[in-house]
Order: sequence, then structure tokens, then C-alpha cells
Amino acid sequence: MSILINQKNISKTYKDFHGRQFHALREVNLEVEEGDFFMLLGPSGCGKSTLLRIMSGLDSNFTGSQKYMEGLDKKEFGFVFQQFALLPWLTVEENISIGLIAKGNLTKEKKNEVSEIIKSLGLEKVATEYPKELSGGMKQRVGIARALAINPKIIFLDEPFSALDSFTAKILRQELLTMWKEKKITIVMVTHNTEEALQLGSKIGIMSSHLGKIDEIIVNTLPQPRELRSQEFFKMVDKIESLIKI
Amino acid sequence: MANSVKHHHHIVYKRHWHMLVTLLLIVVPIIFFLFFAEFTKITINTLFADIGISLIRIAIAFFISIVLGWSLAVIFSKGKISTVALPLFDVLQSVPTFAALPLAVIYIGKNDSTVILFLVLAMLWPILFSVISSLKLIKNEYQEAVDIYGLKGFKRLRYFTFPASVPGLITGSIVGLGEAWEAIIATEIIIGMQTGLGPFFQSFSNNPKITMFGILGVLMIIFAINKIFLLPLLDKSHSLVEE
Repeated sequence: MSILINQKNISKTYKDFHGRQFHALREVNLEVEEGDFFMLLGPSGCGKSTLLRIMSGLDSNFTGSQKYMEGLDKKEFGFVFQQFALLPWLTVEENISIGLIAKGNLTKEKKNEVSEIIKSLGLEKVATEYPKELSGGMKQRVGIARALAINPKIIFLDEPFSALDSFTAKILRQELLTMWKEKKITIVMVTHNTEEALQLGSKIGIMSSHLGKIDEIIVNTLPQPRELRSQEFFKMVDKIESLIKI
Repeated sequence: MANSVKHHHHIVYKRHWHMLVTLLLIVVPIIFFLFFAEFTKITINTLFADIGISLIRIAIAFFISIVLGWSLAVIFSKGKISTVALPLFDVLQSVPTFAALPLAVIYIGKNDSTVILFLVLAMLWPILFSVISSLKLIKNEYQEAVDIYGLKGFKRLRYFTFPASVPGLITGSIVGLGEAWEAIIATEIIIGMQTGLGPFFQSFSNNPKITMFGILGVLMIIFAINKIFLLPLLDKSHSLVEE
């Protein structure tokens, strides 16, 4: 498998309110391979979202080296935000098409592709509505559809289900997993939910509180579809949680 | 079913009600000015010409102010340039521009351009600062979303910057137009224009009754413009950015 993102010694510091330096990331080394469903797992404040933003190119203020696979363009990156980040003045369909509008690529063929995505995510009835008219779950479906519409090589997801109720999150997790398998997209996702990381991830990068480091990368060998109530699953949950330092 | 009928009636009632209010806002000021013309023995043509010419001057100045104010806000609201530009704008808005009116009469002349220039100077700042405030309040996540999906140049203005700035533009316009109504009468009097509300009030400066009813008439026009155009636009613009 080819390496899509190669990070070496990535560090990032912030200055807090009192001017003191705060290390968000310390010399992180990470490789994301094509086809990975890479989960970044850790408690709040461990630097996982910062790392995701650096990977996606949203944050370029860091030290260390980050290389993308040759030929990989940032235009092929999709991003799904925790709080959806849908533009409130655009309809659902326009929000989904925003990446194509930006590329000047909203051809008839692409419009049909957008319609297909809308249909596959069950959004056809709300396509002409505005985000404020949608529930949280529907908003996040729009967020995922927006990422899929650009035909991405990688999708970055920043705790996409943490603002949703557990029932909706469960359905969307399953849909995301199906999409990953069918479309063979590389996914990098941030979560603080160990079960979620184990259910979805092919690899899990474990980060501990306030250290700004990846402690360990675990290859998830649990067979698909994952049995969330199996003994193996619970054993893995215990193993991972014992590795996380809070 | 009962609910939908109720809902339907509610909408129709609201529409009729709105239509009636809108008509009243247009009809009442016109009737008022017809009686006013009769009472003051001013020909209706002269009265409406004075109101009309001042309205046109305000409209032209308003158009220039929103284009200029919005453009300056978009250019100077973000980045390093804003650290220099914003304090500079803050100082400029405090300059007592009316002090320069006699000078402007000498260099530009006793004409519409001078009136419009001073109206722009009165309206520009509230519009500029209101749009800047709107742009600064845009959620960081929205910026990141349009960054990651590569929205740039004109498309960024069309699909992101402009819609996000509309509430500020409308709020600034309401405040700016208020300033303009204050400024136009004084500007027209100081410059010595022959037509407009300024010379109208000046010519009746010794008649308190006409002055009082004149002010009432101007207030009716301002109220009607706000109620018919600006306040609905303000409501709409806020619902536009509602999540």
C-alpha cells in the first residue's frame, strides 16, 4: 500500500492567555496508507484535532515535515466537521456542491453525481431546504455528502458523531463504514470514543492527555463486521483504555 | 387537518394585514403631504420636488456608501493590514467633516456633488464598521469549510463573504440612513442649495407650525422606508445566517 501522508517530527506550540508556551504536539511521526480507516483516539486536549487539521492542510503553522504522496492534491481532501459547518445561507444541495462550485466543475454529469449522493444518504426530501431546518443527524449527513461530492482521495472527520444522539450516531457509523468499503476512500477520523474507534478503524493511533504524542499505533485485527458485544471486542477496549494516560 | 386549515388562515390573514399596513405606509404620508401643501399654500409640485430631490441625493449617496463601505470592509477587515487600517478608520470617522463644508463649497461648488460627498461621509462609517463586525463574527468553522473546499476569488465573495456580511450591511444601512437624514438638511442649508428639504425648512424658519409639520412629514417618510424596506430586510438577513 502506498503512503498518502507521511509526517515526521510534527510539533506545534500555542501561547496561552498569559503568554506561556503550551505544546499541543511533540514530535509526532505518523504514516497514513492508502485505504486506511485511521482513527486518532484520545481524551480532550491531547492534540488529536490539531494533528488532523495539520494533516488536512487547514493548519500550516507547525514544525517538522509533512509529505503527501506524489500526485495527491489537497483539492481531493474532504473534511467533516464536528459542528457540521454548513453555510446557513445555502440550501442542502448547494452546500453539498460547494467543492464542485469552487472548482468550476459543476457539469451536468457532476450534478447527476451529486443527486446520486443526495439519494444514497437519504437527503432527497430536504435537498432544497436550509440547514437550520434539519436535525443534527441530517446536518451531518449533508456534511458527509459535501465531502463525498468532490470524489475525495481522503476524508478527514473531526469527531463527526459526538454532537449527535446515540441512535443517529450508530446509524451514521454503519453508513460511513459501508461507504469506506464500497468507495475505497482513505479515512482519518478523530474520536474520544474507544468503542467507536474499534468498530470503525483499521488502525488506531492512541494519544494521551496533554502529551501531544502518539503513544502507540494499533492495527485493528478484529474481523469485519465487528461484533460489538463479543469478548474479543471488550478485550480490545480494555487493552486500548489501559494504554491511554489521562 | 384542522391544524392545516388554521395554519392556512393564519398565512392569508398575515398577508392581508401586511398588504394593508404597506398601503397605509405609502398612502398616509401622501395624504399628509397633500393636506400639508394645502395648509402652507405651497404648490404640490414644489413640495414633492423638494422631497424628491433630497430623496434622490440620499439614494445616490447611499448606493456609493454601501459599495464603498462594503468593499473597504472586505479588503481591510482581516489580516495584518487590518491592524493598521481599523485604527485609522476609527480616527477618520471621528473627524468633524462638517467643518470642511465651506472649503468643499469653494473647491467643488454649490452643487449636488458636494451634498452627496458629505452624505457619503456621514453614511460610510456606520456601514463600514457594521460590515467589518459581521465579517469578524463569521464562525471559524465556516472559514475552514470554504478553505478546505477551495472557494476562492469571486466565488468566495459570491457564496461566502457577501451572504455572511449581509446582516452587517443592513444594520449599517439603517444607522447610516438615519445619519443621512440628519446630515442632508444641514448640508443643503449650509451649502445654500436652491432645492431640497434644507432650503424648504430654511424658507419657513420663521414659522414654527410649518416647521413642526414638515418634520413630522419627514419622520413619516423615514418610518415608511424603514418599515417597508429596511426592517423586513433586517429580519430576512438575520434568518439567512441562522443555523
